[in-house]
Amino acid sequence: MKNPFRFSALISLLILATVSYAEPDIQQRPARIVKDTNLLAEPQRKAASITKLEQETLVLVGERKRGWYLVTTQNKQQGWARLLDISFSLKEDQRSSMKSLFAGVSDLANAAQGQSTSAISTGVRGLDKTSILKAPVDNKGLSTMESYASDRQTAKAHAQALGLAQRSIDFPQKLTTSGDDGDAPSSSEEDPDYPFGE
Amino acid sequence: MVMHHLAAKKTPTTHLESDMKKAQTLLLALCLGIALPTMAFNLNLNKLGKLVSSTKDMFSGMDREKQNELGASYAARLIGASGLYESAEAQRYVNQVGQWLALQLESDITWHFAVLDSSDVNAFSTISGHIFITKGLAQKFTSEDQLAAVLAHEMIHVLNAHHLDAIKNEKSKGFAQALADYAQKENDQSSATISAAVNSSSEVWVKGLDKEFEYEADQWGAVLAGRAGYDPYAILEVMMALEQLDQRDQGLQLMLATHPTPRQRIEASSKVIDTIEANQTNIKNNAKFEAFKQQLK
Repeated sequence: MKNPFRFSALISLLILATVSYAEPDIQQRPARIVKDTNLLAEPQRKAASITKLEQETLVLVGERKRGWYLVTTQNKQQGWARLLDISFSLKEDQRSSMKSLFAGVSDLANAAQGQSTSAISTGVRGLDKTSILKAPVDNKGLSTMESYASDRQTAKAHAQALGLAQRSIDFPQKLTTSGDDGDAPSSSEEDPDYPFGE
Repeated sequence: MVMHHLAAKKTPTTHLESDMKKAQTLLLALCLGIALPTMAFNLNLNKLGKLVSSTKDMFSGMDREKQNELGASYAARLIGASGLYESAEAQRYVNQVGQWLALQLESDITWHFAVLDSSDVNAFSTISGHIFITKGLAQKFTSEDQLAAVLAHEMIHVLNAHHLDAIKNEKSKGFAQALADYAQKENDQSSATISAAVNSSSEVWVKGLDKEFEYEADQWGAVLAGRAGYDPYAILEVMMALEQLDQRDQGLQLMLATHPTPRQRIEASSKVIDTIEANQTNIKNNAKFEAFKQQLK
């Protein structure tokens, strides 16, 4: 081998490339537990419990599978918790304590920066009730809006390009008390085990 | 949020028809939760009293063409309040996503979608099928699934005629009471009296009637998104993102005043969405969505 140093450097680069490819780039975000729950080994209700998570426990949250988030605790235990039991809304003191609680967790710096308390500018063309009432009727704008309409073929092509597959799913039972059920099938009447509704 | 335009009938009609039209106008105003100019309410409330007893008739008597006319008028006012966001490419993209959702429904509604040039975080719909999201809300989306989730939510408000359901709701007694109060002051045509009547009922409407409609729109919207191949959980992602924002921000206030809190919506709909049999989408390299986000900057 003429240049063993160059060869080993190449191998190192390949290994680095492999490692970076193998690790999914999913940013962990700081979050809190909103009510007592269990950290589970799998994203399903019947999975084994790893530990209990008490309300207001601070955690890091990674990927989501349906209604479950992958959660890392300050003890570096990792498991799944329900989306319902998690909030990304942290108080200032909770955000501050994240750094000390999760020292050594590599993504923490990015995660802490990912917390957003407010990114909304105020006072710019606000849409409160008063401004809406005072607004002129903009029929030209309405025509412009309607000129952007998509035809069926374009919409289908868009969905096809993304691999979106149509599915047959019944609408749930209405929560409201209308006698008019629109175009939705009333599945609950057909199936006593239908899971929707009260 | 469902909104409806306040339109005055120009074509001469019988007195009964005229009162019916005015009653419709008042009802639509209540849907929006606003006070109307005095001129809109030269009502014969003795006749109206009978009409109000069957509010459904007022709406069911409106054909799709009339609903479109009313809704489009309000859409034009909403555009007048904010303006359309100037990127035609962004607008066309939103219409493609919306139209794909519409193809999952059997409905005679002609749907139109737009991004409003407002930094507020909100979305709107009119009975005519005009659906709006603000630029401020669209900037929060991290996937096309989330965009589809919000469009689907608004479409369900229209599809399920939530304004009609709300009027039939027990809690809408404030509306009937407001009309009764007004009827007793039939000779008092002052704007103050009319405004008081409308405001009192609209307060009830805004504070007490919206929650179930919003929950239903979240849940049905998740199904609609799932039908179109999108992730039904995306609406919950949007709620979690909204919860993360400073709830005191001025740009959130109209939405918060007319909707349950994001946490309430997550709690109300999580279990229902858990039962939707739809795979989580994993759309990668969605160049159109990435371009859309760039266009919103």
